[in-house]
Amino acid sequence: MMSFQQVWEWPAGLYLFLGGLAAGAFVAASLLRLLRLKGQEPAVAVSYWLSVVCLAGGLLALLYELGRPERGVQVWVSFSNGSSWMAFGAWVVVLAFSVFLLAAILSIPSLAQALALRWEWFGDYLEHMRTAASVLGSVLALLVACYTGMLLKGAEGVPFWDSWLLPALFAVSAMAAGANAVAMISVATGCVRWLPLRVRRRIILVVMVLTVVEGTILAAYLLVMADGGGGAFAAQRAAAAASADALVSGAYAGQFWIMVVVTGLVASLALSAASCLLKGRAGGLVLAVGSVCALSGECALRFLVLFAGIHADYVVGALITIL
Amino acid sequence: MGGAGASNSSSRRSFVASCLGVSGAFAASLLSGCSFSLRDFLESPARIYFGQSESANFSPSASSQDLPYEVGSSTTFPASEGKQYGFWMDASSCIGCGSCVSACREASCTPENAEGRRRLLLYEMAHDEKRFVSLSCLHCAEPACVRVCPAGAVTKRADGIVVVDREACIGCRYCRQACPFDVPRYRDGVMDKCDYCLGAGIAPGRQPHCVKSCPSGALKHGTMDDLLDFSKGLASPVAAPTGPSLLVS
Repeated sequence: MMSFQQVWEWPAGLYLFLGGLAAGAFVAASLLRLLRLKGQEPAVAVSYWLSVVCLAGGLLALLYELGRPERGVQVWVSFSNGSSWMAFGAWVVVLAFSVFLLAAILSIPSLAQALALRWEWFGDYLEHMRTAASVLGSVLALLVACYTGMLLKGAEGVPFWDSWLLPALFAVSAMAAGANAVAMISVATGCVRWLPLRVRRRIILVVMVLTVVEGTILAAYLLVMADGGGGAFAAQRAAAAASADALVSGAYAGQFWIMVVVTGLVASLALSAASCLLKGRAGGLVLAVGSVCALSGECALRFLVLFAGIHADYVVGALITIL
Repeated sequence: MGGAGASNSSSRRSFVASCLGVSGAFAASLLSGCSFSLRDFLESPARIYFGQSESANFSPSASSQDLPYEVGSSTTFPASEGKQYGFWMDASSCIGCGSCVSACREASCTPENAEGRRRLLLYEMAHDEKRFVSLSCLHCAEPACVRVCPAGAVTKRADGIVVVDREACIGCRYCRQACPFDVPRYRDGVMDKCDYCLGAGIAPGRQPHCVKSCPSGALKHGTMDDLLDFSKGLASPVAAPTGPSLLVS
């Protein structure tokens, strides 16, 4: 029988989640900042720092997965293979981390003021630097979000990952995770009370649309893979179908339906919608619980897509040909 | 994660999977309307099904000190252009003795607790018929391992032999995920795979140890053109996206 890939384990799954969460949280926080919504500065600052910590955690998880972590730096130093998504992604992640860190430092008012007192020019350009960091960081964050999917897509030995729908799914899922994380932070820091109900509802609507789009792409991805994934070889189609089978009705079905579909999509959507109808503290609390559900689902999605990967067996196809 | 760590990997995976969610009793059947399924593939006219067994029990019998030559580097021998070396695996005459696996482990000084470069796969067919396929690196025409390696540690020589620079490998295992045949192995944290015994002192085109050890002559080595001519149409190239250099009969 076919067996699931054992090459990459939980550290890779953790990286896929943390990388996506960092990217999504940075984009969501940057939008809050660029829209200059009243009273959201603390939420933006905490979100930026969350992005920094998550991306650093993801990088550490990747290093832990390496057979020779001490050589990991060679990826950045040599950059000797432009056709490798991992080489490309490693640079994108480090650039993103640098800009995320800059944005996070600039988001601390006391620190920014201290620097402005020391260098006059710093105070003059502070807002410009904040805006530049937000915009550039958001572009890099989008690349990081796509890269988490491209990393798996590039591993073409596993047909289940060899689809453009996967980076699309991971990118949208990352944005949804980030938006939910920022919503949760906004509730936790009390910033949500500064948002007019109309604005709050619009933000929640955006989060809900992202969740619906994510669910749609996930369904399309699984249907395509269950149908063989469009591979040119029977071995590819068999492996892709077996992986989809494992998620939908096989070894990982329980986790998939409970964590990804029910908790991550349905429950988070329902709670987000409910939070629009509730006012005051109750609305914020329901929104936060919905966000926790969404984050759990996003995390489970990445682990399960990783774990369900199956290598194609082309030898059996050759044996069929000669017999 | 190698064979030695397989059980640990499985238990870790089970733990993480358990953490992700409690087992559910309900699972919808999205697959029910699909036109293609694993079952269709396995119940094809040839009725082959998977019965794959790794040859983990073939133990090495020598260390580098016992070898009659110095274990060298794949770069010892210059590559001559215009050739593509490969293997011809005659599954109909392989007796599954595992000599090729043992010889490979010995020649490459593979430690006992490490996965070997070569493995023997058992395919159980209809009517209890069995076919053994001895498999190592297939030195593909367009190797996925070369394409994905972030450190540029895997390269394809002019004579088609795919070699790895173990000093440059960072051990990310991207090559193994990308390889259509799950070939790359990891020793001391870095990639290790067949180089047609270049590292063991065998010049390109000469018979590697696995071929020399085969008692039934089921495993042959040469240029792909020569192998195709020699097989007189009895053998078929293994079809995969990367163009592997392997004939099977």
